[in-house]
Amino acid sequence: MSSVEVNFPKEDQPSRIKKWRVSVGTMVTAGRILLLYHDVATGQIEKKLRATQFGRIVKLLVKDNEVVHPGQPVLLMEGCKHPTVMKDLCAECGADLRKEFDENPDKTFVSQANVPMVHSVPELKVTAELAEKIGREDKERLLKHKQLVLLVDLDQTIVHTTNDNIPANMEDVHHFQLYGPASPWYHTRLRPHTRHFLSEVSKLYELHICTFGARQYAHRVAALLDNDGKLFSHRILSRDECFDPQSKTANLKALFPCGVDMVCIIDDRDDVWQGCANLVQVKPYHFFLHTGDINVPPGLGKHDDPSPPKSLTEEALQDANSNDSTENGKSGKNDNDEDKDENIDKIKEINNKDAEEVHSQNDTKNPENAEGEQAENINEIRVTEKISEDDDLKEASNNNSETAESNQASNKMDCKSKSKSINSEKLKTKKKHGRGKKEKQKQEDQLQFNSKEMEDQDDYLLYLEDILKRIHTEFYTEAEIETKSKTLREIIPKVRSRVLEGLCLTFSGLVPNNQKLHQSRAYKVARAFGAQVSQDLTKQSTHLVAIQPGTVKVREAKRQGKVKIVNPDWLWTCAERWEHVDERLYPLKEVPLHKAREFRKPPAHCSTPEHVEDVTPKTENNFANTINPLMIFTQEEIANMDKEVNEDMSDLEDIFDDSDDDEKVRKREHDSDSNDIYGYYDEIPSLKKRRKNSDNDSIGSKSTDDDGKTQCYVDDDDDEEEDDPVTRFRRGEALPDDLDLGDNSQDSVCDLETEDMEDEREWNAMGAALEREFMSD
Amino acid sequence: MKSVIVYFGPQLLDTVKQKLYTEVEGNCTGKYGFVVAVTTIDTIGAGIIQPGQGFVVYPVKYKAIVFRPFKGEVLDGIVTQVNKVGMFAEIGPLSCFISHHSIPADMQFCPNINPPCYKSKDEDVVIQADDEIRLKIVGTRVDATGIFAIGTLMDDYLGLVCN
Repeated sequence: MSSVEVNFPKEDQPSRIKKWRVSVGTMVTAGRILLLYHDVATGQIEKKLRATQFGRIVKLLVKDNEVVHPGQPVLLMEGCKHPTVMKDLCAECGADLRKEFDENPDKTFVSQANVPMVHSVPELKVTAELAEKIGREDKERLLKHKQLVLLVDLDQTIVHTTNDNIPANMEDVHHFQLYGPASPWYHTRLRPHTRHFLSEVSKLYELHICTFGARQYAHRVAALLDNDGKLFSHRILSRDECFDPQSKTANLKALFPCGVDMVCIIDDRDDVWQGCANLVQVKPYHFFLHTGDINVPPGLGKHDDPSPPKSLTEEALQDANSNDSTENGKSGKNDNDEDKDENIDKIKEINNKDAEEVHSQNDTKNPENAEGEQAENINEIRVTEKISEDDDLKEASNNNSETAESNQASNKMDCKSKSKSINSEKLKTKKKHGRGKKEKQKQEDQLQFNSKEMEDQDDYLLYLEDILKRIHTEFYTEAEIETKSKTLREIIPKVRSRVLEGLCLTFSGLVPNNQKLHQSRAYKVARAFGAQVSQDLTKQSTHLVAIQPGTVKVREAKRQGKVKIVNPDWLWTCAERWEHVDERLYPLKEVPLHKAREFRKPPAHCSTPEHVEDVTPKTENNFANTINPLMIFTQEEIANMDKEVNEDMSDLEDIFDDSDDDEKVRKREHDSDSNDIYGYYDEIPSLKKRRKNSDNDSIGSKSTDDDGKTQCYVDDDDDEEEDDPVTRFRRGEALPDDLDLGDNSQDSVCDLETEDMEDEREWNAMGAALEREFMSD
Repeated sequence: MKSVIVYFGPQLLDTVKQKLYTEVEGNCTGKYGFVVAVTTIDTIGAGIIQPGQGFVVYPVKYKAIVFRPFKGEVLDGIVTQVNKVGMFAEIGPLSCFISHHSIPADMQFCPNINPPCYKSKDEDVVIQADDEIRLKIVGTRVDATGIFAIGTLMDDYLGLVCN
């Protein structure tokens, strides 16, 4: 926008400037005092020169104490660039941008403001320049206060919400309605330790909410977490403000115009962040049965456990990947009653056996603990607590099967203190369905929830707090050492890779035979957490992660003695908590084969390892290319195709032009004249049919380049022709009276042949391309 | 039929008045602004039954207190939200945004204080949520359903109102 001169008022006397009240770069609004002056003649009365319009001072043309004459320009001012826009109104000068836009619709300079910087007000936009300036100020402020930014997801990260009916007497569950008295109830349970977690973390991080819940929901939950606005203030981004319904990454640029170097993200799902390295993936919090994330982005439903429904025994045993109790609960429903009785018996047997094992293991462990390694002690104490609680449960119930089940629960909790509450929840569901009696279900619901109060021992937030503290410390120690500012994009993977640093893992049975080691997820997880992975046991090997005892590697490791043998849950738990957990909690045990397979899969929330170096990315890419046939076409070929399509279009017109030599067509035209609406459309296929016949003849004689082209659209026409009468028939319309089935079928036979030829040629070309690529590699 | 008896009875005109109050008060029209209260009903004309329906439309002339903000008007409002781009204020039913640039330059945004606020350098003026401010309107956006305003604090006697 061009600059404007501001003149000294003409009607005034020549005056001396006393003092400028503005400087270059100042934004002035109409009415702001620009300078003070007094008449040269009298020299007494002080006067003020005020701005008459909005703008930014570009240049002062006169200095203090200079004499100005009426009409003389005193300063250059730049019109408003509308850097802040609210609802199409410039927030600086108040101009209506819709009007301005109507006046000069072809000019783009009306406003450059397109960055919605404030979380909850998407209508308020600022220019990229201003956004960057504000972003820089934010960054400086954070550095000054030694803080970072933390984006907090709500659902299944720090709360779990359900719309299902739940008992009213549950502790620590908040009930609310969002959309008036007739709207559904929401029941939100805060993850254990949430308040502690948030208050601790808010000392180190500026907290933002970033959720796919609706705006009202997000604000409501924020109010639950933080009633006086201390933690989140107005920094709440909800579904209503998200640019993209399936991704949260798109908003990052707007919220943090200076980059995401200081942004850390906690979320239970990584797909909405598209492999953003700033993400610390969180173990999903699951409290209410049968409810996943109620605010799942469309088309991104969770499939943590894609395994088909299993019988109860299997289900009870499989706990490797049970982070989604919903699906398990559902699968339990499918079983019929007969199976259940049998299965319960089986469970009892197995449980008794297992329980014995557990106790013996505990006994062996205790003396070791007495030796006193702190971390182990903590873990051990946690485990024993759980056992005692489960013992209470046992005593409370006289039901045999229940005893067996809680036995099972304690067993599980002992051997893996991961996903404890979830497991027992699962057991409860099973028990519920196992009896299969509806009258009992209500009671059991009650029981289930009451007992869950004490069973909800999800302590993940304590680990998460530790992770975040480590990241924060790492960032600021690095920032002190190096003057160059560091980015969390690098720091987070670095902190992660320290977890298992110096360890050398070997897998046994963890990677399927048909998969390469470096392609397996286990490998990627281990690498992401800093461990070395070797194919076979070497002198450096420190750990053997095995799913079955009795493999060659296990025996070899036992012989070597120094190598610690663990089950895969050890690795997954390390990955989940970002800490080196005690190996003795994850001893290798004999497990059925189908369960062992389950072991192979890491839980979905185990951090994704995109940043780990991929050994063979190139071949993968190339192969992907060959899979997509479009990729093997050269530019020229694609251009040719375009040409064909164009010719095809023009050919159609030609047909209409020279159609009068065919009497059939003339007849159809006559029909269409006589109010037959569909006749017009019918005549196209019939024309094509004719055209095709002649084409086929020419193909039969000799196929040239030209014919190759015609072939293409012959096929298309054929499809259309085949489909059209059928679809039209379905629509209840009259079939064209000249539709000759005999002719048609003959045609299609002809066409099929040509189609085959075409197909064959295509496949040959693809095969050749594949071959070339493999040869060259 | 029953509803017809109820509405088209001796209480008909009362019903019409009642309808007017409920429909008009608190609403906003682009031309007259927010209708605060209907003061007098001058005339209720002859109703016209809508063809094909059972509804009747009455032309009603009434006087009302309205609130129609104009450019340049100075008003008192309550701050609702303070952020790094500016602050939001409410003047009764009218919400208003004041950009950072329209807040005197000596007032700085302080996000670290809870609640966030704009503070002058010598810290004697602090504007935060729920404070009363006097502002001048520099622009309005009038929609069918409401009015939104842009305000400024850059003028004499504007800013925090001390009670």
